[in-house]
Amino acid sequence: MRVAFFVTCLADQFFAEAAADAVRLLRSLDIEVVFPRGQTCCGQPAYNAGHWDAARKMALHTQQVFEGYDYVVLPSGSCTTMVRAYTPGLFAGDKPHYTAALDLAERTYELSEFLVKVLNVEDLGDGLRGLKVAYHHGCHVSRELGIKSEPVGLLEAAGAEIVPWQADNECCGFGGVFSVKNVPVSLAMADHKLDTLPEVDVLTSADGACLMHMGGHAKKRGLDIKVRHLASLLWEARNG
Amino acid sequence: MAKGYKAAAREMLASQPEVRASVTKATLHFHANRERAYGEVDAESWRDWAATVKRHLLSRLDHYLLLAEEKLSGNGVEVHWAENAADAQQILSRLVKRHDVKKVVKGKSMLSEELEVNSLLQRLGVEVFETDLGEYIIQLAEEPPSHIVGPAIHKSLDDIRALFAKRLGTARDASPEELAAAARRVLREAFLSADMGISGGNFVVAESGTLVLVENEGNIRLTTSAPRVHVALVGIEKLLPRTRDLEVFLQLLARAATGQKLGIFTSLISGPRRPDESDGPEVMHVIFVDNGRSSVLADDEMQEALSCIRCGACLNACPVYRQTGGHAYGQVYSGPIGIVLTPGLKDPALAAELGYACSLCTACADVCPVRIPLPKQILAWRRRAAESGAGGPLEKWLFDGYANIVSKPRFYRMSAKMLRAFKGLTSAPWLPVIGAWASGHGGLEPSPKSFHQIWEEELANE
Amino acid sequence: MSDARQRILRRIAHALERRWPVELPGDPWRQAEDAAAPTRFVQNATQNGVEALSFDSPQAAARWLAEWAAEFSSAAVSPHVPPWLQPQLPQRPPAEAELGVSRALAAVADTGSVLLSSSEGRRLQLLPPVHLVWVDEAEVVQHLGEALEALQENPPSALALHSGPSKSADIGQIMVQGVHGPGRLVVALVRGLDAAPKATRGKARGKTTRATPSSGLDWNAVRRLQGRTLATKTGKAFEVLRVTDNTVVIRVGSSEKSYTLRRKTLEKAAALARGGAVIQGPSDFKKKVADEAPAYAWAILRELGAI
Repeated sequence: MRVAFFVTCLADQFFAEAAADAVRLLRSLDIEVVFPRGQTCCGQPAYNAGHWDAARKMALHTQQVFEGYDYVVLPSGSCTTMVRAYTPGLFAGDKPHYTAALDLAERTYELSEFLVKVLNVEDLGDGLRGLKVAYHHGCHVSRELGIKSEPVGLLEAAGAEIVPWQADNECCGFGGVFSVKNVPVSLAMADHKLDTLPEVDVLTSADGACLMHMGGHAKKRGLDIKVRHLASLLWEARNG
Repeated sequence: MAKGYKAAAREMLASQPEVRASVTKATLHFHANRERAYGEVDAESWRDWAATVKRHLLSRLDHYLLLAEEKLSGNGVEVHWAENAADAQQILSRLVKRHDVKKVVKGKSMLSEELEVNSLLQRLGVEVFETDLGEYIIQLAEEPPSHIVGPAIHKSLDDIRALFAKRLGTARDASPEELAAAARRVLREAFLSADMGISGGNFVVAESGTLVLVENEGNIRLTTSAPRVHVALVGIEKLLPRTRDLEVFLQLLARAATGQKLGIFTSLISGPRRPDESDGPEVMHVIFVDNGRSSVLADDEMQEALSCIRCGACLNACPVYRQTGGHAYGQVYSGPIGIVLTPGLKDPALAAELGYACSLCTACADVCPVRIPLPKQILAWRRRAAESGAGGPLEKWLFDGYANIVSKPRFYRMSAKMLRAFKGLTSAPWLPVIGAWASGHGGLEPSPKSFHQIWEEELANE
Repeated sequence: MSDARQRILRRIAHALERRWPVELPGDPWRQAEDAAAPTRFVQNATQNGVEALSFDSPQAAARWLAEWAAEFSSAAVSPHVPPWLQPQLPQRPPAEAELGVSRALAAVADTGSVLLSSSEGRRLQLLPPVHLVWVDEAEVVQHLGEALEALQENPPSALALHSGPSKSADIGQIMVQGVHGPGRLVVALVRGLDAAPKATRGKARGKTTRATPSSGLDWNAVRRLQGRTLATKTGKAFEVLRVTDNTVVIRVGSSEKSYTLRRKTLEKAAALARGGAVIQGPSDFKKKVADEAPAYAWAILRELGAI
């Protein structure tokens, strides 16, 4: 089974080590991981901002780069959602590209989802014994793709304690362009997440952007909150 | 009101932080109740069913409007048609004159806010009482409602104590019961002496010509029972085909709005008082109001928003709404449904700012009882705004530039190196976009090496 | 404004031109009938904050009423309430009464609601702080649609569903009851509600029609009798001394005895008569209505044309 790894632009620049952990994890499960070098961005920032011509351009590029692979795995919930749920709609009325978008959508998986649904892995190891974790459900991955139990199940199986958090499925306020267009509201939303966060060792999520938003704002507020990407924790579950 | 969302939201968070607390508390409460109430029934199946009924209705709206008109007239109701707010105001002015109206009691109606009925009546020298407790509070405070269902949720108990102390002379530390009793005294007197009651309409059943109103306080029942004239303002999209449709719609509305099995009081009004009845209005008018709705109907991407039954569930689910409440939107309808409806009802240019008062979290789509695809529609407004250049030349230049870079992998990798080389610049407050980010997060902190670099140096060889 | 009407309809027709009509869906999902309707009604209504009660006979209901109503000093009673379920309280207009008493058309188990008709008077359902609603147990249905369909042919001008006490959380999200409408809603299900109890003092008997008609007794007309001298069927003269809100006091010329006739009793007789019962004379009155000065009561009602 050949898996193409789509690191996504955000993880490439800001969660590079976590992305590397994802590759290490997949390889440890005897998966052949390839990294198409031409890959860049799925186009979501432009799509969400309403600049669909720009988004189409990026989506087409992504289609070409990932043509022909059995599976495309991403360490990012929201980019997975872009490819799976939103990109085909960008090509409505453009049959060849629409078909290609659907084809890519069918082969694309978020990391934890790929582990559980495709590889049937439910137990990676017990490297997270005793770790108290708050899990942030990214909006798109949880609501649009319904991926909720996969990451949480893998963390729990590795011995982590998922601490109940009333706001765990609430938007952190990032929202791409929203976080720069409506800064005070975006930050107030992050505040609500941070103010309701229970006592934990680490805050994690399948979405790096949310972690950047909450983690960055926590740091600015002088809060001592440790933020780690899900991919790193999963690798630690197996390797730690 | 004239201020855009962005500035209004910023100002509200800075100068009225207590509004955020009140609104968050209230909406999370509504939201949790809705969630429990949906869980008690097969809400998914009801939502599918109700969505289809409304889509059917909209697809034959002209037929159902004519049917409703015929049945209402047959029931002894006078039916009027208003294309816009000016029309509706003219009709209302005529009715005020015709029926010699000096005092009006009003039941909660968002449409009456659209039509600015209160200021019209005041201009006509008519005394107006909002009778829903929340509406009465904001009428005393001289503010517009901030939520479809809970118009005064932005006010805390202390705010209302101070307001009532000033306006009604209640004690500074009055209990909620005492405050409600004070309002009740004033409004009871108003009900019994008013000449006209003005209500909205939750539904009009086309096949029977029945006006349906839902509430919890009893004020709408009194508004439609006590004065000698009853006028209902009804949006043309508020119809239901059949009486039997009410079984689901009434329950779904109550569960979505407040988590109740049914609103405490539901009125099914099929005409004015009959000769053998001891009380009730002598005459009844229904004003069908378009005010932009037929334009929304003509818009393929937006028409489903006319299915809205005004339950407020999308507002309660919306984390953006929760931070400021409804006033920041500067429009009658706020929250997700407000973002979608307002540009369509009033002016597409409003989407340039309203369209971005959303983090696209899609929580609204999860709760809407009639499955309006709100996030998709908000995105469509953004697309239209971007196409019309509403975001300004810089924004377009940035996205086009970004698209150009990322479709050429070499440029992309080069800019990754630049990000690290100029890392210090990412906390510069004067830079567009980046400065806005840095204000709440500090400078960007890229990983020491990009993944591309890690792959080439390390992973590719393993 | 017919121009506006034309323009609106034209715009709609134009908007719909290119669209296919969407079909109406089939029957919607309904809640499981996992218990009898009255049982489910009591459960759900109680959850809504209704004080829900059940009685297995009108006698039991009347006994409960006599005790329960003692805490009130006045009532506004729907003419649809049969005499045996009317509280023995002075009648007041709804705006002044402490208690409103209704007879529901039906009740719905799914939602814990009662259906009330405007024909009994809207205000008595809304203005008194406490609202007592009688429901015949046989008229409790499982689903709202069933109740609405049953009324579809001839609905009242205002059909109201009441599902709990009036309430609002508009003040700081703190629940307050009795904002405009009644702060207490008491719903009593009665088995065989319309069958007159046998053993009550009045020995009322006979069938009333299912929906008890209003008594039709105009109390103002009774008031106008004050000071008049009337005669019984056997020709005995008596004077109407005084008419209060709830009583008529008469004095019999020959004996100087005075009797107090209760308004309730007179109304009950009038209601029965309107429902089709024939009350031929005092002995008939005694049998069918009450043994309360039947000769004089019958004469008064006869004078008013109420029987």
